[in-house]
Amino acid sequence: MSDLDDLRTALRAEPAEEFGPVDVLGVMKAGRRIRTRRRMLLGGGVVGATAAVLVVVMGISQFTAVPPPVPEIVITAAAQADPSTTPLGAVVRTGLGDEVLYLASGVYALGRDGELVDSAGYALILGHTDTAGKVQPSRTTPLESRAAGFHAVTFGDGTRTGVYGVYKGPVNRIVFEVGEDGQVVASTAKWSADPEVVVFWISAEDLQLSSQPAAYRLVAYDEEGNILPF
Amino acid sequence: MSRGDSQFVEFVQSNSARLLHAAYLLTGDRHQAEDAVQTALAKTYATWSRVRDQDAYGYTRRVLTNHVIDRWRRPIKEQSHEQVPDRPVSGDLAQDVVRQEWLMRMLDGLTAKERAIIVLRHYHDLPEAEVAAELKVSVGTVKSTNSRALAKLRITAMAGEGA
Repeated sequence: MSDLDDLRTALRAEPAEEFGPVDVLGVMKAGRRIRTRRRMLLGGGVVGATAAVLVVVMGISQFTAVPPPVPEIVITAAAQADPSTTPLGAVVRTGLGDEVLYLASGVYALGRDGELVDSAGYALILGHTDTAGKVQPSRTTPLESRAAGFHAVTFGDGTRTGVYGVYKGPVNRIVFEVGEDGQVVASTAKWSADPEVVVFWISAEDLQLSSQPAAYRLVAYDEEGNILPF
Repeated sequence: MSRGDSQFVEFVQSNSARLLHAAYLLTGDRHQAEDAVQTALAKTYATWSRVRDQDAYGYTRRVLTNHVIDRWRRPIKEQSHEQVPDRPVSGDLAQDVVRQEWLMRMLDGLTAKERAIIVLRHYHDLPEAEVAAELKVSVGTVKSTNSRALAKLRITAMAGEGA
């Protein structure tokens, strides 16, 4: 090698060997597995938070005898939305690009392997508006029950909406607590068909606040700052 | 397929050839290069919502480079070559193949970090500061490592010419 130019020319010469095509579907599948592992860490954090809140609620109960049993929060993977899904109640604009959230009834969602999943009547849909302003559904998360607390908590799949879900109850504020002192307050919107139901969401960008996802905790507060059940 | 997925597919189609070329320079092995690119792209897809509106190619390149360096840090069987290959001469019918082999043998004489810096500086044409940021080392380390690697390559090439 006589000089730097020779090296650069050699480096940039097309490789003599032919490469196989990149298996894009395989790449996306592997990427989803990586993402799922991260979600599981996050889910562990949230379940851990449930336990922590349980302790708090049980501690308070010794004085007030108030708390109802707290159901365990379920972190759900969204399924491909049925394209014919139509909104029930108003569509909520997240402000994150053209992504929207809405509830629908009578929805049968497609599972990861293409199987039909009974949505038990209602489902939370993440979609977007097209250039004509029409809502296009993208991901469906069935509501597992209609009891008070969090439902259909879902992590975005390559979307700007990082986490979203529904809370049923007199919630005033929903907070993702990050580590010891970080907080991300979720955006919320009351469902037009039932003000007891609140749709909430946090941007994917805000979820990057912590490098340790297990440190996240999801907490709902009422107007007086009391922690509400999960 | 969601819009994010469509964008990712487009990103892969537009950039995979360049990434594979870079990975080949980093590893010297076609199969390892393909595996490394698959891994880097999977990690990119896992965080696509965050990187797609930024420098997605830069992110993937950084993941790829560090993935290859990390692999080399693990105990693996080293490939050593007792003889430096002859420098290709012009007019050789298989000149491209010979030149490639010659280049790879020379790069094989470098450490993983030296090789990565050579590829980032002289294939990707990144400034020293950017190379330093990608490898999380100081600019001084990039300068000294680059000089050392170039000196090694010159010695190797001279030995090849003298063989």
